[in-house]
Amino acid sequence: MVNFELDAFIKALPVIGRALPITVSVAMVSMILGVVIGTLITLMRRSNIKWIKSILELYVSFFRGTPLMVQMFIFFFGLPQLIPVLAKVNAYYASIIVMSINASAYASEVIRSSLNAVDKGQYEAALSVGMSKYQVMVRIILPQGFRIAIPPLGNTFISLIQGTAITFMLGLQDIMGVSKMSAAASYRFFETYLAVGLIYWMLTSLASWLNSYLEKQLSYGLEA
Amino acid sequence: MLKVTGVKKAFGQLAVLKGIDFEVRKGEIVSIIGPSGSGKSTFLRTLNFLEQADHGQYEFNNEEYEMNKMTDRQQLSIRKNISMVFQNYHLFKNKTALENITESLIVTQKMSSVLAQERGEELLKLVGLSDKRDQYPHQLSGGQQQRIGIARALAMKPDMILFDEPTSALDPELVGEVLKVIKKVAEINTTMIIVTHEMDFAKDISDRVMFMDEGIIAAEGSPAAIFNSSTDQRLGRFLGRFKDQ
Repeated sequence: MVNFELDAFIKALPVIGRALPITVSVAMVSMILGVVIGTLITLMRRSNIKWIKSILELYVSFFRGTPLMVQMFIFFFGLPQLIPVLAKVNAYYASIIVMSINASAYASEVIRSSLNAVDKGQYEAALSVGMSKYQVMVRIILPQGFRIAIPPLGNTFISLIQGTAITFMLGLQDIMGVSKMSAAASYRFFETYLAVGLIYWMLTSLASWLNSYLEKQLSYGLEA
Repeated sequence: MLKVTGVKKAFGQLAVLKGIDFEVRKGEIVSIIGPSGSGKSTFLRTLNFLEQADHGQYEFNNEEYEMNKMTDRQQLSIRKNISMVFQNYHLFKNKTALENITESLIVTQKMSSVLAQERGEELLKLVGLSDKRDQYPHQLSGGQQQRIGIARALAMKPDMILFDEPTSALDPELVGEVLKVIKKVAEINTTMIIVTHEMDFAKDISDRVMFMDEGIIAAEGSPAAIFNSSTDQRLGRFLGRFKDQ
């Protein structure tokens, strides 16, 4: 007989499911903060002041170019060594902080290329009727740019959901953390990890569906 | 109304404008013709600062500026009085035809949306597109988009309108309807500077024609002088290409 207990698999689902609010909230809050911060970064990167541009490019490069796990370890285990008060930040908030910063770097790049995709001609036309650069951005470029950014931002969100899986290493009892404990306790490794895998799959599928829906809604009245 | 002297512009090593002196009076219609690469569009675009000139004096409504030392605010304030019609129309793709026209009124002139809409519909009627008021640019033909572009340029009652090859991107059968509208604009006594390849149109509508070649004004004069009796060699060669058609 194959060493697989369907019973154990089915029982694992609700156990792990109870930790869903943690995983989902970390992913969603980080995504929202990431997009907000990322947009601000993108807009500031357009500035003519050289040092602002350089610092922000460095920021984006670092947080896109190092593993999320490394970023989390530096923040959660490393920084308290320098700044003792940071030891008080618990795993949940630390996860959100690090993932938001991480997401903001990716979001900034997505939004930057999306804004560039809006043709320069419209920008010039808006200037030509006496609009200020700020007005052009807010009324013409950003609305179109955000629509273009929806699909790639959706991908960022899906990566974010999967990225939450490593937060258990900070001691956070998210779905991965719970499943690890549950598997160790029951010795039903395959069933437990398969269950959490399916739950992640369900989450990302939901995110994909939401993304398509949003894309469709915002295209109403405009061509693809 | 507008006078510029010594306008120079280079892109890296390439000198595109080599010192242009130009003047236009209120109500005048000037056409600029010339071969590709002569700098016509670049020059036009320095007049509303979509290109920043490297050198030059700019005098508009009795205010004088050094073109390479102007502030954003100064340029913005002048742009409220000079509008432009683009070769590729450049309508706001996320706004309807009417909204394209009213956008500048609501945003830069703080007009109430009711008044703006009234003016917008007036202009839609002028360009013959009242029935397209709620359509988006992607639903309109090139000629229709350009006519909306002209209406948009007219909305703010500008002192001057710049036309950058307004019909060059249009299918031949759509050129006529746009030229008709431009003619209407000329009739309401707007100051206009038109860069164009439509020679007959330029001859018909202009008070003055300017021939640009390799970054300078090679010839200038009345339409009759330029098209019929010029002795300039380069101009002769340029026009010769059109006579054969």
